[in-house]
Amino acid sequence: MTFLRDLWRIAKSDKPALIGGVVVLIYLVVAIVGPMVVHIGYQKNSSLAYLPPSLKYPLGTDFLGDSVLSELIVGTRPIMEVGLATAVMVVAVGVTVGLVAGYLGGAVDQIIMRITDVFLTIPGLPLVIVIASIVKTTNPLALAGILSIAGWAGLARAVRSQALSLRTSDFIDAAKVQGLPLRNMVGRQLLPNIGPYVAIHFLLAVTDAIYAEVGLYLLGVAPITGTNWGIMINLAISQGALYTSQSAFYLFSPMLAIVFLQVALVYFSRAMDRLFNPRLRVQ
Amino acid sequence: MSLLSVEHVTHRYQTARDDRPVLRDVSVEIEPGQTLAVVGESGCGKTTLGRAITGLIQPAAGTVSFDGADIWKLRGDDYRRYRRSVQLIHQDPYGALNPGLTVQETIAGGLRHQRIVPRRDVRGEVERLLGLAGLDTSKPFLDRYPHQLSGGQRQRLVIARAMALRPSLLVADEAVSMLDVSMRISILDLLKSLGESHDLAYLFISHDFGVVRYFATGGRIIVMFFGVVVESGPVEEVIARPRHPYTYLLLDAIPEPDPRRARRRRSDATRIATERIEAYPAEVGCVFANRCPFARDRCHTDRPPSQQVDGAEGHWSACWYPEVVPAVNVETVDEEVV
Amino acid sequence: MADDTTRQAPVTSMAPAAELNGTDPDRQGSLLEVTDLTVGFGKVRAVEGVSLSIEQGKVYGLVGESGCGKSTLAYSLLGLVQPPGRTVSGAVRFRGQDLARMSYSGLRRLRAQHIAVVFQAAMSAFNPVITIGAQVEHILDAHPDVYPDRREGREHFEELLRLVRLRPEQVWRTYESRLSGGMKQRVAIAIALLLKPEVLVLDEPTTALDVLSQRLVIDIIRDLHDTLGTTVVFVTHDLAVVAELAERVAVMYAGRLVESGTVEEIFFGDRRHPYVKALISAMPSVTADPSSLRSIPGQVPDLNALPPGCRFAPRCGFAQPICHQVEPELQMSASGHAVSCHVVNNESGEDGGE
Repeated sequence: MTFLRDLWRIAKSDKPALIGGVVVLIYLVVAIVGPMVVHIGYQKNSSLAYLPPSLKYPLGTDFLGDSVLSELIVGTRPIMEVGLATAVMVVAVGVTVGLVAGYLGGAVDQIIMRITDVFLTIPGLPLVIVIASIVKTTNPLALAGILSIAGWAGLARAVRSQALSLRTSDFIDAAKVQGLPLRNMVGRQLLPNIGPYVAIHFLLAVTDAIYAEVGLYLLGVAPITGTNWGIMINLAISQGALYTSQSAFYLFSPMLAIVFLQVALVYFSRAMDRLFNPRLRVQ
Repeated sequence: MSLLSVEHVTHRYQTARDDRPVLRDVSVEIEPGQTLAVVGESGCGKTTLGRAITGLIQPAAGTVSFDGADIWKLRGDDYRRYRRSVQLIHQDPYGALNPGLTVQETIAGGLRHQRIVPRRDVRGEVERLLGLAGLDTSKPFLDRYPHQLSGGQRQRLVIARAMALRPSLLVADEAVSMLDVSMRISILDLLKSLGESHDLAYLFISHDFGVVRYFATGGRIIVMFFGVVVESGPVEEVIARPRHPYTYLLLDAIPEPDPRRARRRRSDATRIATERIEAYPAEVGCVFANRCPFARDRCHTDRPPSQQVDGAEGHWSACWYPEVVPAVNVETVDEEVV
Repeated sequence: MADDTTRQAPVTSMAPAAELNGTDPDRQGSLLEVTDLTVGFGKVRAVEGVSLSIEQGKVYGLVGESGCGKSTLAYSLLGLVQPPGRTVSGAVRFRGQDLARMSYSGLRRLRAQHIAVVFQAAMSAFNPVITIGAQVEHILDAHPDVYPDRREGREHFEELLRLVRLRPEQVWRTYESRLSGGMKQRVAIAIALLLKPEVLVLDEPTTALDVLSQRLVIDIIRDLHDTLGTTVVFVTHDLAVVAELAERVAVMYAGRLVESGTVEEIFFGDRRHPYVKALISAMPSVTADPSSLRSIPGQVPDLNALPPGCRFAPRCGFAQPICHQVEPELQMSASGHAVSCHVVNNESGEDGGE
């Protein structure tokens, strides 16, 4: 409860963060509630294709005659599901690996870091594309898993260096002298001290995941079922939206939807530093 | 049997650029309830000794024993008992506290994991410990973070945390050096009263003889130089009648808070020693020989063993010629009328 | 009985002193005059209403605990207070010239040739990629009016090195990484004195040093003062160092100057500020009788939340009602000893003093 109150207070003092937070919240609400309220008919009525914006179709129609706005709304949930799930996985794995390696040091650190290095050097997007095209899944969790393969290593390395510098602190000595076990050292002693870093990285990981995900759909590597922003762009291009100016809304709406969300997430991350750092949060 | 004994401990400090001995064949004993003060300048190994005793580092050679058992061979309940019994108070109260934990969480952490009290009594125990350390026990205070506390409060919190596990030995490493002068006495008094009421033994590390004299009355002192214990004995005795040139120099060099007496020229010996301050400690012979104003030939070739000083029980010095050590010009000043 | 309109009495500047200045030949040698100086960082006043006179050839100790403003005051002597710090009111004058009105180049010359400073972290003051000698030559080149002949400059530097107990060959062709922390501090002192400044300011010269290094630095500062006649102003929290080195002392507490006088007056005077007495009695030392030592209860006030009246009153054993209402003014006696305390200055309405 106090956490939410602190969040509100911090956001209020930083306008961009507040705007970002509100926008993200809107997207979340749309993602959860949207598909229950809005339906897509999947008409195949080419006479309704690429209609300009009107009261009935605020953003016009796509090549099949469906409302672009409806597609946008319905398409929010798959994108955000995967985005959030990926970020959760990336952060969970990256932080745990980084903290354990950094804190324990020695042989454990070396082994973990060599594995991490392998994942760092393999080009992320091509790897993900290859795996996605083989696995061909629409299960959001599975997709998140694939996307997270490329993302955790960088975070692990950064968190490790933070752990290395925290490790020599006097308060870590004190915790050791009290006989606190490893899970407490990592979870209770180290983790709160990298809180801001993790929170910001979480939000940025969501943006990365969304880009990657949309990229997969755009490239046609992920199966085209249902609708989401990536599928919309893919279909827009393959169905000739590039060749007529009437299809502008169909082509650009999903892109703008993506961009607004990304920017909102980045702006909102400004509040994370103050929120998770007790020195800044509490006077 | 001593509470804690250090036997022939040797340790090296090794980095990519540097490799030097930090402790050379150091042996000390601490009895239950006793205070042992460790004095020396930076690099003498006093902090390393403290870390070896608290089990934070494992010496390259020698043993550290708690209640007769080598701490690095302890397992299970015996290990947990050692872990609870030996606690550490650091020099920097801010660095010693986790900035992400509140006052309550700082103390409760150890309490819970070591199951000192049942879960439902944790909160009460936290308040008891805070009260013991002279801190506020109200809810708002418990929710504060270290950055919201003053230096004195932080150090008291560190002390409360150390007391949480009901230790029998506290290692205080420069416990008051980073505090304002006006607060030092009150923290020292707190430690002393805790020592008496809880029968605590202390390893009191400091570079300041004045602080040691105030805190460790009735206790023992060891003086270290580059990893070697050069002198040891009862605190008052060693301060009044040092029997090692290094101890003498330290005492003579201390600035005196008395302008009438501070202006005196320090002895020639002190002047010589301060000029040799950059001289590297010798590997052969007495470790202090290169800086010692009284050094003779033998000092450069043979390492002096620690020998009992004539006529003084329990007073040891590692010097071939302890008789050359002059008397220190330290008399207690008459109190001015306040 | 708290009065909720706390009258903040303005601290008298050395108005009495100024009169004495004119008549007393001894006081003619005032090099640096601080007049009612207030320095703020945002809303916080690190130094408030401080007036001090630094006379030529004397050694001054500026002493106080953390947060008292002594370092800020010392930096103000050179006009070194950077934003967000700023001088709110008052002035610092060197030989009558207001530092705030000096041009940038004027200040630059002032700082090198007239008032030199050795910072606390002197160890980091050196450029790691050139030798010490090269750095000294840069300085000589930058101030050609002091040493038109470079050789003379170099010789003077070598003389200074000997005064700080270093051998020139140890230092001239060496890189800073080869020197220990203590050696670097001494080199920094030699460099500071190179252009023959009238005043040398040292910020915490002995803090964080070992006992023997401290002794060396104290002896060196004494020797430098005796040999060169430089006016020395050093900042410290250690009263023992003050006893060793200082001739005149200024004690600060929570941004205010609470007492100034000779070192004998500070340690043995019979009209001392209660804080000064308490501080001396709170210092464990090898010579003090342990049973006579007393800690000072409470803690230094937060500069954001100062108590009404005298800033030391909440912790003072002699506090009278007036102390909690009105801030005391600095009153100077005929001998030049100044104290800011109602009780000592017999302003409490009771028979104060001792």
